Amino acid sequence: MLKFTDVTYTYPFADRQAVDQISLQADAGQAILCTGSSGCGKSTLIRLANGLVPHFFQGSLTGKVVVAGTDNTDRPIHAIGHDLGTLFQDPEQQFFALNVTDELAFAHEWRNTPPNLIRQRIMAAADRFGLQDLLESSIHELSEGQKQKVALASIMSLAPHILILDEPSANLDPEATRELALLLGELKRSGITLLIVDHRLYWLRDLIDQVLVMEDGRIAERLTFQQLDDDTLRARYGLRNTTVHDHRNQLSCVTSHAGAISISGLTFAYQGKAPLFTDFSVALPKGMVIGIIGDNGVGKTTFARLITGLLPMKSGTICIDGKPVTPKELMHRSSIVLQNTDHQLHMHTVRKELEAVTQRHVDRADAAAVDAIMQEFNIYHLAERHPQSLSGGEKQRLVIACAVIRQPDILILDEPTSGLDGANMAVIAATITRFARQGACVLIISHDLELLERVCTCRMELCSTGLKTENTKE
Amino acid sequence: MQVSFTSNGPETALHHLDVRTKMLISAVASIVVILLKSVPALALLSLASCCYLMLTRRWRVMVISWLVILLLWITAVGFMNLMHLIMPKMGATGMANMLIPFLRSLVLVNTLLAMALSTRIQGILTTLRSLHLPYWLYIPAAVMVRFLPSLVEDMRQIAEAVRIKGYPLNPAALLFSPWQTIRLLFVPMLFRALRTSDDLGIAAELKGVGYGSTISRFREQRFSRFDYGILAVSCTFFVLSLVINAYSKVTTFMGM
Repeated sequence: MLKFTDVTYTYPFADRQAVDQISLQADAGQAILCTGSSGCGKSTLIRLANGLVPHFFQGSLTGKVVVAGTDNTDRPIHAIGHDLGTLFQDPEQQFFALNVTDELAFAHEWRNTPPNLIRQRIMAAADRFGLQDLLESSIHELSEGQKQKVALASIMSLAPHILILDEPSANLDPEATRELALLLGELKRSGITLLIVDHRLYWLRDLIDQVLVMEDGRIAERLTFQQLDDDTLRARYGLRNTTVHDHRNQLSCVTSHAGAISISGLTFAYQGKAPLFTDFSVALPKGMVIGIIGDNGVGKTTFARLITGLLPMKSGTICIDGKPVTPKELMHRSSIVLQNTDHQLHMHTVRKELEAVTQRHVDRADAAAVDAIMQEFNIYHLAERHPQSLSGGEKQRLVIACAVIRQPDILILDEPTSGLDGANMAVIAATITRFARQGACVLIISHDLELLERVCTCRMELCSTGLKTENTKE
Repeated sequence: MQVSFTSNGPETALHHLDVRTKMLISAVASIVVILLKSVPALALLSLASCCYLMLTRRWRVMVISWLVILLLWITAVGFMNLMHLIMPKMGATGMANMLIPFLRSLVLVNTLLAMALSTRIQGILTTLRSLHLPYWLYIPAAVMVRFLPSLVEDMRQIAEAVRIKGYPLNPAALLFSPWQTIRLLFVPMLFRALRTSDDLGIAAELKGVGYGSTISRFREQRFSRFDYGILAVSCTFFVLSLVINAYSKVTTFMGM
């Protein structure tokens, strides 16, 4: 059982409470969803539950957090970990070992579990989460979805009574999300308490017993999941939709001919690996938002890197408006936003970050454009803040703004709405649509069905044999 | 799994060596190279250590490491000659003299790299613990070692982000726009390093690192004939190099 009683917490040097007067109770076999706009205190709630607050993060704490009958202040984090497991939003955050098997074994070894039992638990976890083929892989070689599965498998192999999940669907494809929902349903039925913090709501309909909507560190609403279907209520708190239609298959496929951006004869393989693309051809139209779809590991991000010139093709030609372009030109005419925003921010203010981009492309944009784009992305009030001090959602909007202000012919966004609330997702969706309408070719690699539903006008489906069209079956 | 590099290399004989063997070789090598002052003796040990590292079959990492050492050596030779030109009283330093620090570094890097490329982090942790080192020493040491792969991965992604933004990333950029290049590389690196150290601390806490009174070893390693063989060969080379050193004309570098 997990119980919060009048919990108020303030981080060191912060001038306001991160959470304020929180009381909640989650009993065995109960699933609670905590949602709300970015920065409302959801992550702090998790840190309070798993003991990181106050044992790792200092600060001012009043009230009581009780896990399995014991106050968190009375035992260390690792002891709390015997009863409660936490799956973080960024799975890499919780990896200590560097390959999958070692990661699955790591905590067991520190608990002095006999090696034979560890082996059994690793195999059971691998079977349950479909990790058999990845057991000897380096964690850095895994896709985000695979990392998520490894992290979850690692936690569940320790058999905790309470499971806390921070944005568990953020990096999973819709199929894996459905699998996760089923799996969590099984865990719930077996008596495990679930506390799920997520912006994406649609996949939780059949799982959740109680919904807590947070705002400014407080619990603003206690609802049933069905009450979230109220559009006005969701709009008030900046929440995402509770129902999402998977319309990926209804989107028309791009073809291997007739498009402003044509890629022909593309061949590429990573060193020592089987080719990902062999004599691959596709034509991408301008003015469209194209969803790049395919299973994990099929080469979606590699394709994006190839057509932006980040990776060298073994062979192949890329033409824009009928003219072949060199990799160097591609770098200039395309823009890609990768998943990890921390690596992409260099300057000491948000304004300087955008100005630096415009200075590199002075013929394309100017100072007025910087103001305009900050307004569009709702980051104008942050203009003088250090980019690295922004929240995850704010950083995400800034890196996309940096990509858009270059006015590239090809704009590629890799999971642009991962971990974003409904209001921020709407901002990004509107920009994507506007930018495509201005004549750019926008490619989106995303598992976010809600985003795909809002913005995509066609799809490019990759499979192990190359490009999938309406008539081809893998 | 390797300690310090992100991509998986082939499983080699070195992976089956006990981590204690590799630690012992590194420790003894670091002491012996201090004692050696003759070029032939150090050359022999360098050659042996290169062969030892080649057991990892990580050719790319090997070549890059050796090139970095070579670059540092050439830079040192260049500066020493420059100083001689500016201050002739300092006296010229012969190539043989300059070789000594280079060969010493080579031996140390080779033995450490062989360990880093073929050892699990948990192996290092449990070995450090079995040596009865205090908690406050071996946990930070292990976290530091674990930090390296994340740092390498961050550097790769930061370099990629710089290229995406359209900035050149080459020696010319560093020469002609040093502040800009340093900013582009080091600002995200600094913040990522801070975040990674926090993340690793959290991961270690949540997994109970350092709290168990006894630790089980999932991948049990015992001293095998191969360990004894490698130790015997290593001892032979250490002794041989000391003997050569004793009978060689000793070359000193800056009094060392």
